Amino acid sequence: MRFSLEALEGHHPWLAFALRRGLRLVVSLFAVGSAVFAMISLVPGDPVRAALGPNAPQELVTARKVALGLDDPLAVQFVDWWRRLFTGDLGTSIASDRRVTEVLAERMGTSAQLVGAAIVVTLLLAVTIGMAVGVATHHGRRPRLLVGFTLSGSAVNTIPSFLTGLVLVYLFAVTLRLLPVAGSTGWQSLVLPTIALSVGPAAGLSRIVRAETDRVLAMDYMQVARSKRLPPWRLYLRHALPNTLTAALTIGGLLFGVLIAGSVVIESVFARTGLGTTIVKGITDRDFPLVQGVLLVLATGVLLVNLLVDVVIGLLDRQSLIGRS
Amino acid sequence: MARRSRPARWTHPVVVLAALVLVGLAVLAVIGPILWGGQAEQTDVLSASQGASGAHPFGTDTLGRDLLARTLAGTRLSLLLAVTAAVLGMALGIPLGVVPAVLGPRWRRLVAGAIGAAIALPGLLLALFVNTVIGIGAAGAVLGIGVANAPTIARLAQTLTAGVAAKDYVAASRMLGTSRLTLLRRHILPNVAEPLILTGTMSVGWCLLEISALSFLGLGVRPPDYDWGSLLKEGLESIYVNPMGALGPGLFVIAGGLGFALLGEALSGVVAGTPPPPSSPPPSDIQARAAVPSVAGAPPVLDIQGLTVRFPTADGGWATVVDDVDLRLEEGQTLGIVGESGSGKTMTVRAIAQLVDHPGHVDAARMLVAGTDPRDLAPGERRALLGTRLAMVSQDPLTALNPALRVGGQLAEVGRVHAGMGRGRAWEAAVAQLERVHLDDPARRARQFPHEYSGGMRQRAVVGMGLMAQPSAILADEPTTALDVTVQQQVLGLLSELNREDGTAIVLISHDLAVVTDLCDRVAVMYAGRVVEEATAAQLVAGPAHPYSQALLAAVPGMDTDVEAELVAIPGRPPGLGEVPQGCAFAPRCPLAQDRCREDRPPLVTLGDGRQAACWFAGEDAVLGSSTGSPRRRVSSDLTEPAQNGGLS
Repeated sequence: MRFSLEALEGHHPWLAFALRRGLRLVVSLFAVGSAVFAMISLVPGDPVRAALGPNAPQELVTARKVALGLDDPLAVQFVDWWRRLFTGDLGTSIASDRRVTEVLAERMGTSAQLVGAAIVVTLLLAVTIGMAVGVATHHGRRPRLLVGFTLSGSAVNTIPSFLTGLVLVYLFAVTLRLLPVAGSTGWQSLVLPTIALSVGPAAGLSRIVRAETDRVLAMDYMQVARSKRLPPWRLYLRHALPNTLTAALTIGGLLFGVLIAGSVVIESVFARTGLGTTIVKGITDRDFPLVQGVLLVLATGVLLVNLLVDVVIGLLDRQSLIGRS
Repeated sequence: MARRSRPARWTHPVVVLAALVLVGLAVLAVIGPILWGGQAEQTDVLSASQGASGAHPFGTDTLGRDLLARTLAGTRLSLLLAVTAAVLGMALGIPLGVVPAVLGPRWRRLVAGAIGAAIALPGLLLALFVNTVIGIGAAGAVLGIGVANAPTIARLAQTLTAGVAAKDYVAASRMLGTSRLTLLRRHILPNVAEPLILTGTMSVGWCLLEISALSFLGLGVRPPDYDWGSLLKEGLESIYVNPMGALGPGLFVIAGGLGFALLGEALSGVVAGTPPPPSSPPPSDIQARAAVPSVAGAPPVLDIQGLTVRFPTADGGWATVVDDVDLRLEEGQTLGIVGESGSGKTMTVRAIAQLVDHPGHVDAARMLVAGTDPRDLAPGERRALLGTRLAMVSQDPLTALNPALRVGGQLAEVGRVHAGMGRGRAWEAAVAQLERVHLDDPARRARQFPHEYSGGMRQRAVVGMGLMAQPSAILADEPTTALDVTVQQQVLGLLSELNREDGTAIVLISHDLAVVTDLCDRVAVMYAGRVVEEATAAQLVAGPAHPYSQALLAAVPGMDTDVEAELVAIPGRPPGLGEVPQGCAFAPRCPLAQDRCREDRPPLVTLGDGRQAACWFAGEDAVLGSSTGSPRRRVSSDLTEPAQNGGLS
């Protein structure tokens, strides 16, 4: 297997990449799916009783248990779980009695919009600021700017998104009354949540971009590019950026998954009806099928974003296709 | 040399501030519930849901309880949960990361894979998972965040442990049959403990923020208990009435998070290692010196006088790496520059090409490229002049091409920028140029990335790239050092061919005298930043005038070298930065050195046969009398005729 994959890399690097990375995705998805399945079994006591509350009649609890298949042997449940996953059946919400897939389909768009916008904004902010500071402080120039940037970057990166959100709510709803701070209709409702979600990760990523810019500018090929007397935009955007981005994404790629998790909290701050508010309500109600469904979607989203990052890295740097595992 | 003392890590204002904040919060955690616990529970319906006031700086909640008191009293629970979660993360993560090191490689791979997969999922998702299982409440939040923190700690522990386990003494110990447990206890744990504990401590900050987030979502601490996160949740609900109810506890969360983060930054050396910026540019006597007028006629490709390059040293002074070098290159000439590493060869060429990096400082009495001083030009004009006149070929072809761009594109852009070609024409020119440097199948090669090229192909592509703008001169800095011998010959042959056929002038830098004398008409020998001899290649091979050139030549093994005999090496080493002695820099290594050599610096003078040397004993013609005056004075301008031929004069 290993030998043939290496042979493949020479001639069809993308095919080898797809095989290797696809295999990893399948294994990860299997692990996530199994963990989410195991969740119900791990709940101490009777999960259905926990969901329906101590006052629910025993007949109802038993009926629900049978409906959820919880009285079957674990192995049967496991096989059944995967069979249902493949047929797109995530069960029925205990609290609302609606099909989980239906609820997910309804809420997914809002969350995807927020995460998508946040990824774009994070990248734009991080690359612009990180490169600008990297160029300005290269070769030990402006050491004070560097220390200031590093410390303030660390500070901004530390402030959790829900606090940024709170401050934005205060500024824009209570003081300025400029933008909507609650709800999920119209692009305006996306502005503040996106800012709240992006600022922290952008600060963190911009530090990585800065460090990578500094490293890339010192490379021989940048010296050669300078000796070709290219105009600055060509030097930095065409020659430095792809290399900076490759390294920054390799190190900071996991940040985008963090954005998905962060959206859970941000949706609560701005009262958006997305997957985040759904899972919080699900956990509060002990509505296990619903929580399982949202966790599956969020985790799959993270895995897909991570895969997308690897594909982008591969596009930027063909060499990265070889030997990434 | 008095080194300027760097600010100590622990007294840097940022560190002090962060430490003060953390100590303050710790004190608050102890005394907070004692001092304000009662007030925090005291309901007062009459003053419910008030905004901030003197009596209630953070306002009151729906039951009229003072929110400042609740925030202060809530410090203990907030920090306690965070510390517990951090300890839990370490208790789970460290064994997970350390133990596989002493197990077999299969286990190691398996655990490493699991850790990698867990890290790919954001901590908050893991926390939500655990929270669902355990149920809402402080216990669920702590367990969730603790578990979520474990993979990061485990990864660090794994990396650190792998580093230690790979050390020789651990391997030796393993060979001696030390048990795995002893290995772990005696060798591995002591070496990874400090960074792990440090990281674990820093993770308290992360745990604080994440648990606050869970409480804020209503999944952590619940009434009647309260921590900062749950206060934030209530604060958001009444933010229109009382903004301070949300912003107040928010400030405390941020203070805690920042305290840990900044302390971490400080300990990782961000604020400590900032060297002071170099004071001011050094005084220069080069600028003041009158330049020797240039010879009339077509301007030479390069006409450089008094080139000096200096770099700041650690003690605040300036070290001279290129000292008063003159260089003249007519069209179509070939000039070699030889010397050991550190002799200033590379810096000389970089200074001419205006590529000396900050904080280096370049001075020259005259610096003309094709008759124009690039320093007088606007950036765009300077790029146009240097881009069309000079091409650089650097030392290591493996790193000279941008790995992210197609080779053809890297050539074509020169045509687009400097020759105003369109995209298509520039690409055709690039393909033609690759053919010119003898790459097979240039059209296909142009579409490839550098990693698909061999070393020799890359260097030829770099040469071709330099030729795209039809330069007057190629400045080649050790273009063959990184290549194997047969490929060396190809590249040198190519340079020689370009010189013969296109009349491109060449400056070839090398530490290898044989390479230089092969290719170049004239050769300059550099030592410690100065030119010590300059002659035609034939003259140099026949008999160098300077002892250093002699030593260099003797160190080159030729076909007639006795293979049984030891290779000749020059004893000693060249002076380092800022160590250049007062007299002749070569004197400490020179077999002929006298007292005079150690005191007075010999100037570069023209000898009878037209060559130049900087040695008191160079040839009979070098006897110029003992009164030399200032060693910096140019002898060539007042004692002998300036050299009319090309090369260094």
